[in-house]
Amino acid sequence: MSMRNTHKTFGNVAKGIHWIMVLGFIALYVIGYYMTSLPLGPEMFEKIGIHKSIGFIVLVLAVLRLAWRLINPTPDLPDEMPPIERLGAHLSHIALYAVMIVMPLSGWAMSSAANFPISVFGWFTLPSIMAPSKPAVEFLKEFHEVMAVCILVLLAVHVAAALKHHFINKDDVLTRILPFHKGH
Amino acid sequence: MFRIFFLILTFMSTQALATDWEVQTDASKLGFVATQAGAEFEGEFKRFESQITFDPADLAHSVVKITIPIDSVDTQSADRDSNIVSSDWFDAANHPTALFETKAISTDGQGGYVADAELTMRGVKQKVKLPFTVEIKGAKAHAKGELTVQRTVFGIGQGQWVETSIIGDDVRIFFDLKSEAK
Repeated sequence: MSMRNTHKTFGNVAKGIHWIMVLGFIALYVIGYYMTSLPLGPEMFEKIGIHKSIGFIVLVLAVLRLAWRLINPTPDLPDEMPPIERLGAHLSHIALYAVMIVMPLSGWAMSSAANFPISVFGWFTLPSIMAPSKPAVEFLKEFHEVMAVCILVLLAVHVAAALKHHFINKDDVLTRILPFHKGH
Repeated sequence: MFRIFFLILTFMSTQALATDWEVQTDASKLGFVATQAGAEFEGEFKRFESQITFDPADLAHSVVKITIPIDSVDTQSADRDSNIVSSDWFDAANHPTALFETKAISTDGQGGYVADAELTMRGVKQKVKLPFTVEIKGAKAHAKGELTVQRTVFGIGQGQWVETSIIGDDVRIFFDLKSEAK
């Protein structure tokens, strides 16, 4: 099992980033919906701080992941896959990469627009990426909320497709991204 | 009679040797830096009234008094600004202003000054020491300084906000004032 991808399977780096990101997404959703249900208070600020910190880590991982993808082969889709499904796979993957970048950036921009700078786990403070503006905060808040739901739908399609490949098509599309799976 | 009048006039003029200064509010800033969830943010008070009598050669008669209406706070976040004036924080309804008043000003021996002053916020008066610098060019003066206070000492942040791990206790108050001799 190598670090790098092959045309048949994913390497350890791609697998690692994929599954760390899964954990990141779960944490972001759980904390995200929880923190917005809290009354104004220290706990709300604390949870928002953690949500922002994890979001920044996801953004960094997304950039690393894209870079890694560019310098690695991507495992081939199964030969028997019809063109329409191939197109669907490519489009949904492009959409997933896009949201991994856009979603954290919209959160970061919202923080900047609200003049609530982000301290990443207390390690360092992120620079502001836009000037404070109330209309911008309101737009970005709405955008972040709507996107959260859209991404959930996208993730549902992603998981459903992986399960379909595994249980119906019985190919290796799911197993080749699983950790500790030997693959081919 | 005239003699006494002139004596009084002469006495008054020596008393008034130290210059009175008018702050150019638009060119000046009175702000603070606080910490929220580990990250610093800046705010400022858009309005303040100042009575400044200052002369480097007559520190004994130099006095600075600044009154700050709390509701002029601007942290670039309307939500946060409305919280700051609320009863848990500055309680602006009962304590509409903060007051800074010097009791004595001395030199720090390095070209700067130190004011022994009283700062009153949310009805709590505390003694503070404020180091500052003043550059005077003709009829214009530029003063800068900052001091750090602990918000909880003034009772700023009540109830759940007394806890300081999310909203830090230390708040850095700074000013950059440009003024003209009256």
